[in-house]
Amino acid sequence: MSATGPAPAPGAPPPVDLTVRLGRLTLPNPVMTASGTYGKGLEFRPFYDVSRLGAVVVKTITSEPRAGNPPPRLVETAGGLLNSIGLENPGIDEYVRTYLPLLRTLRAPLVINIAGHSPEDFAALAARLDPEPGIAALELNMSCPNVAHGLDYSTSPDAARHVVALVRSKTGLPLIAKLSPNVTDVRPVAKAAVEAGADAVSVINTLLGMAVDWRRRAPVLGRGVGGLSGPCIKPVALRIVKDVSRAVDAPVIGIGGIQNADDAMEFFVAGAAAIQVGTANYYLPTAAVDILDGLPSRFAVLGATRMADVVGTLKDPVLKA
Amino acid sequence: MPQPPPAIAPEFPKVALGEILENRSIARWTHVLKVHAPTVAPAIQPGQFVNIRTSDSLVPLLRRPMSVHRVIRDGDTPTGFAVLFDVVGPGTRALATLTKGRRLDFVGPLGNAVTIPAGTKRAVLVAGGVGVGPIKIVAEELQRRGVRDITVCYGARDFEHVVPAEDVCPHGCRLLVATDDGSVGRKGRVTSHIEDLLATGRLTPETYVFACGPVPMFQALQSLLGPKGVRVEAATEEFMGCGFGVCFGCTLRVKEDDGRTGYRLCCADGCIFPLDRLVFEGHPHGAHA
Ligand SMILES: Cc1cc2nc3c(=O)[nH]c(=O)nc-3n(C[C@H](O)[C@H](O)[C@H](O)COP(=O)(O)OP(=O)(O)OC[C@H]3O[C@@H](n4cnc5c(N)ncnc54)[C@H](O)[C@@H]3O)c2cc1C
Ligand SMILES: Cc1cc2nc3c(=O)[nH]c(=O)nc-3n(C[C@H](O)[C@H](O)[C@H](O)COP(=O)(O)O)c2cc1C
Ligand code: FES
Repeated sequence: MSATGPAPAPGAPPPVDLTVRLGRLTLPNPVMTASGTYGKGLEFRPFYDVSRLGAVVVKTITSEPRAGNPPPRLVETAGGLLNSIGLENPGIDEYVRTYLPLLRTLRAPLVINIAGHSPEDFAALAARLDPEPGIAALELNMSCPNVAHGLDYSTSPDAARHVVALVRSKTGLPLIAKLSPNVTDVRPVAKAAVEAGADAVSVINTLLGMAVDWRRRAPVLGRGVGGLSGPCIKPVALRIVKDVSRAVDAPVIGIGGIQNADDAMEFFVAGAAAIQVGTANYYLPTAAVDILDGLPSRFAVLGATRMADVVGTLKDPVLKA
Repeated sequence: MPQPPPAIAPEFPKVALGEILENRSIARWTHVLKVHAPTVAPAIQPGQFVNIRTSDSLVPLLRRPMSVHRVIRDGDTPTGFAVLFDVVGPGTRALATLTKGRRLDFVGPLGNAVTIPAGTKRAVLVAGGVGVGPIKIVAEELQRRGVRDITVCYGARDFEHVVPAEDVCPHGCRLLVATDDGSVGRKGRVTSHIEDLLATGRLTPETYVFACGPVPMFQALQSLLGPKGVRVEAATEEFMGCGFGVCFGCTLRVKEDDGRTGYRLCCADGCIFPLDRLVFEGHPHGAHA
């Protein structure tokens, strides 16, 4: 029991140290928001104190403004959501001018997510953001399924290595490589990104899918295909987190269908050093802080007092003959 | 253009748990759900909506947006709200089964409110199908502001879909009904009543007009009222992922000042828009889609 701080209420779980180190990036706790699901962050201020979060990750920014894809852009599926938003954003100039100052007022570590149409474009975005104050890290969206070529940088190790190395040469900010699950094996891509200088990798972005309106013999989404997210993708995400965390020598950020503290614990045990909450923000607007508040009692169940007691402690399956 | 945020976090919308006071069937497919929600009710403005979690399970996953039909008051104090909904799928089916005393998880109030010009003397409210939901709260607001001459034009498919007059609008409004098959009111479209009002001079550019209904109804109103210079506030409905402006899923197309077409969010920029700004060309629920 520490000498400082108030004594815990009887029956309250013992204090836990949720500090997370992701390469050179240190966060107060492992609960982040997922890119594209958190608006400008300001929208959540009526619901809770956003500065409590481990980090806020903002929607992908591109060098030019993008209007996004034609509607309909969303369709609900069993336990999930298909989207084809198409990286709608105001472009980097407008972003730095008007959005970044607003985001700084959130007083949470800020992770800016960027996507380039070429490795040079990625690098230019990073160079542009590098001198801006108040940015904790950059997340490279190497895997958006909703734009042409969006998947390219996360489907081949060489492409991933090239992009990350070029960005690395332009900025000293911690880098997170966000990778696609839409490949046979994420591990070689993750390894390449880490070797090229990524401080951490985040998995997974959405799974490519579609919905069909048979009466119209047409896809439901305006763009035809979209990215699947939500609780229905959690098993896929857990498997990939486990695989990648064992293959790379860098922390893994787990994303995919996390909606409560038990889901978060599953990802930590599977190998995630931190997590991002995405689709759950829509239907459970307080999900991220509810997860944070739910961690101490879960840690207590495992007798854990710090992240290292939990992260990657998954046992191997016992095979019976 | 984003505004600088207020230093103190806004109080609304809230994620709240209301208590169901009543879930009343008012027509074959239609219910009125009354909810006790004293922390949220005072903030509700006419035209706003709430986003309801219809079940704790993963299907349906997303909340279901519903326009506020009425604010419930205890004397002068707002203590709750009602929504009027049609059972059309899994979410509204679940909602229809909720009974008195149960908790209702909702986010609200959301969206913008009607903007009734000062000095309004006459109003026409147009409802198509379940678009009748927000008519009553708007009519009550008009009456509170002293507007006496209120006509409600209400179109529905057939007698099974028509809700009782007292659930459409308060006493003192003139109610004109039309059904596709003529089983209640006039046979035909709700817009035929609009044509009559125009012809008899009871609908002019000075009239306040509010409309809520399906896209083809909005398209018909655009071509009827646009050329006459009658402005309309349209309560739109797009499929919503979040309801508070963070998913960018509920876009609709609008005409910008420079004549080009841009996107707006139904939930955060609306759901009420000036009808003449809305672009329905190619809309999946449009008349020619
Ligand atoms: C701002 C807003 C206010 C609304 N107010 C009301 C209201 O007061 N009363 C009411 O009954 N309904 C209202 N709706 C529509 C209501 O949200 C949908 O009917 C509901 O989500 C259907 O859910 P479900 O699971 O029962 O059916 P689903 O299976 O989700 O849908 C059944 C059918 O309804 C269509 N649908 C679903 N959502 C919408 C939508 N947003 N707009 C148009 N069509 C849709 C689907 O395409 C499908 O054909 C409103 C919608 C919005 C966006
Ligand atoms: C509507 C929507 C928009 C998204 N936009 C982005 C984006 O701009 N950039 C990005 O890297 N990921 C984006 N994502 C992916 C999420 O960040 C996350 O990787 C994915 O949804 C899986 O997590 P979840 O199941 O918790 O939502 C988006 C997801 C959704 C549902
Ligand atoms: S419903 Fe999510 S932005 Fe409108």
